[in-house]
Amino acid sequence: MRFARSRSQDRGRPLINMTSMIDATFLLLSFFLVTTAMQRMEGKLTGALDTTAAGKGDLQAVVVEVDGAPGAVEFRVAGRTLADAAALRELLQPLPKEPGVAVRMRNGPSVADAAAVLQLVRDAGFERVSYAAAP
Amino acid sequence: MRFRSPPRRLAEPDMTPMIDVTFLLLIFFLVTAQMAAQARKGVQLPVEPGESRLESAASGLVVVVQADGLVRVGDRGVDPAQLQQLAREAAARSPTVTPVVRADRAAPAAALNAVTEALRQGGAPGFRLATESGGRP
Repeated sequence: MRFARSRSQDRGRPLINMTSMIDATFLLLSFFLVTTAMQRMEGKLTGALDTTAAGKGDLQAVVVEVDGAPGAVEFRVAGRTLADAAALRELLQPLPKEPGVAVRMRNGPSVADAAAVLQLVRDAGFERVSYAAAP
Repeated sequence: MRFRSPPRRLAEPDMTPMIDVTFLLLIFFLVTAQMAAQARKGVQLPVEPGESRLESAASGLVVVVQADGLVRVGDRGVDPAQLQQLAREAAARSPTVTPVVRADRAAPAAALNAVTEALRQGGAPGFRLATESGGRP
């Protein structure tokens, strides 16, 4: 048979007042909830690095050379110069995808331009994409 | 004769699970806030959706290219020779994991070219350029 603990027994136990600790914890939690900046989701664009030499390993690949200045790039594909991304997309869409694309980047454009080209090539359906600095 | 009614005991809610959850949340925010600050300091990634599928979420070497073209790994700036050595060490540790390049969108492509060349010479088979996908995973 269990007996309820009498109040005289309770009186002997030391009681720790948790209130202030919980207050501080909630304060810290609220601080972090408010100050935490939610980051946008990140994506990744993969580019193979030709380990033989820049471009020499992709003999069958379509070579896209990117030149120009930040925000004003032009593309050279098989001797043709294309002034904008739409023209490059039109050119790449009907090509066979198996050989892949070799992006050759000159130093003039920006990283945003490099990412845009890699994205365009991926969106055109090419799985094999290599990246190297233009010679 | 009036009898005194026994003092009514207040019901005390059990606070233990709530405190447990609160501490867990607190620790989570403390840890993740530091990590985010380390990896994302001062770099605005290119705004592109990225690839729809990625084979591996693991990342060994993370190279940061700042807007001014300065290249760093972790907290210290590195030159191409040091980066090449780091790439070699990373490739020896985990050959299948490609390095991640977190380059500022305004950085010159010359800096990205220098980084990819150093990675290539260090034996990396490829690289992953981090982008800000803005919703699409």
